[in-house]
Amino acid sequence: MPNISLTNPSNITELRFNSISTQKLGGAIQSLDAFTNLEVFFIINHELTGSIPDISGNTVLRELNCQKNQLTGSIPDLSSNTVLEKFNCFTNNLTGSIPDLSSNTLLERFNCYENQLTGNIPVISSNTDLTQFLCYDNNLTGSIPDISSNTSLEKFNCSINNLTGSIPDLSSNTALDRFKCHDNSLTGNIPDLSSNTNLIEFHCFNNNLTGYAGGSVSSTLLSFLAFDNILSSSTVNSILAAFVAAGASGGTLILGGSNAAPTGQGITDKLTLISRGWTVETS
Amino acid sequence: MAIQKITDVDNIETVQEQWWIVYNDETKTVLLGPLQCSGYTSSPYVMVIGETEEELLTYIEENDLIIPNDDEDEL
Repeated sequence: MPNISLTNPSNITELRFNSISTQKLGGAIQSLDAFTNLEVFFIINHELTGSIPDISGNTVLRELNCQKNQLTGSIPDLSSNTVLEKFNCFTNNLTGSIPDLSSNTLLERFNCYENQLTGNIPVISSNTDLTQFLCYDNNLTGSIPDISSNTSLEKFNCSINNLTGSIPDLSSNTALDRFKCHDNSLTGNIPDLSSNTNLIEFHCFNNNLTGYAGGSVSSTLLSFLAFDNILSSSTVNSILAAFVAAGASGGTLILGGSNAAPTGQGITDKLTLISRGWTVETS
Repeated sequence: MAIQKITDVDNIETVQEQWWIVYNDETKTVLLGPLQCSGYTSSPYVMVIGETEEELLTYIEENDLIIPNDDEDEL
């Protein structure tokens, strides 16, 4: 990264380094300590190395966006950044665990996907303004936390990790439009989705799920991928019936792989969905 | 190395070793995949079956198909 001399860094509220394809910034991000009034730090799609600096002195920081670089090291402590709204450091080489987010009560987006993060997904019950939590394609372990307080949540994606336990209750997440937890080792049931009336995509394939809690599905739900679980014929039949009852057209419903084949009314329901323009796959 | 493009997708059988996609030929948008999943598929769209994921990614590139990423954060 070039040495940029600024006479009064404390007057600067925004630092933005947009990417131009032929002019990538490299090197490490230097200390941001002097930028005491920094609200936005935005340096995306460059070739930065080293770690994210300590930002505990940047107490008015609203947005940190270092996506698509080659940053290493861990995510710094964020407990002083109490007005932080967006933290986007996806597609880097970050390691270590996701820090405690309980002080970041104004956080709207936390996106750290495509890194090598380990440890548990932290408790996010204090982050009631959160609309987007994307941590897919890391090495996270433990279970998916309770998200019943996150009633503003629209997108949640923790797929391609090493998560265990069950999919949490989603009945409070009425704003949810995308929920993805595929490619983990989750067990238990696919939850009741009848409250998720804005849900568009639900992807839980490649887990060890054994059942479906039942209930209706929204007519907005047009992409449901649950293949390669351990769903019985009766469970597959129940899912097909729920989608027939929803009455939507033109969606995608993939239930095959290691799941059992539909039987009886399930076969009829599959044909009904196909006649409505759905792409349907079953064992 | 053999790619099968199927335009009449009526109960097409795939086995676990195969990779496949479904795409909308009008919008050139990939609706599903590349994925590996055995079973029987019906769809109003186009299905392409290959032996490896790489084959399908090459097919996607050569045919200017778009894989939407709904998770990409807006700036």
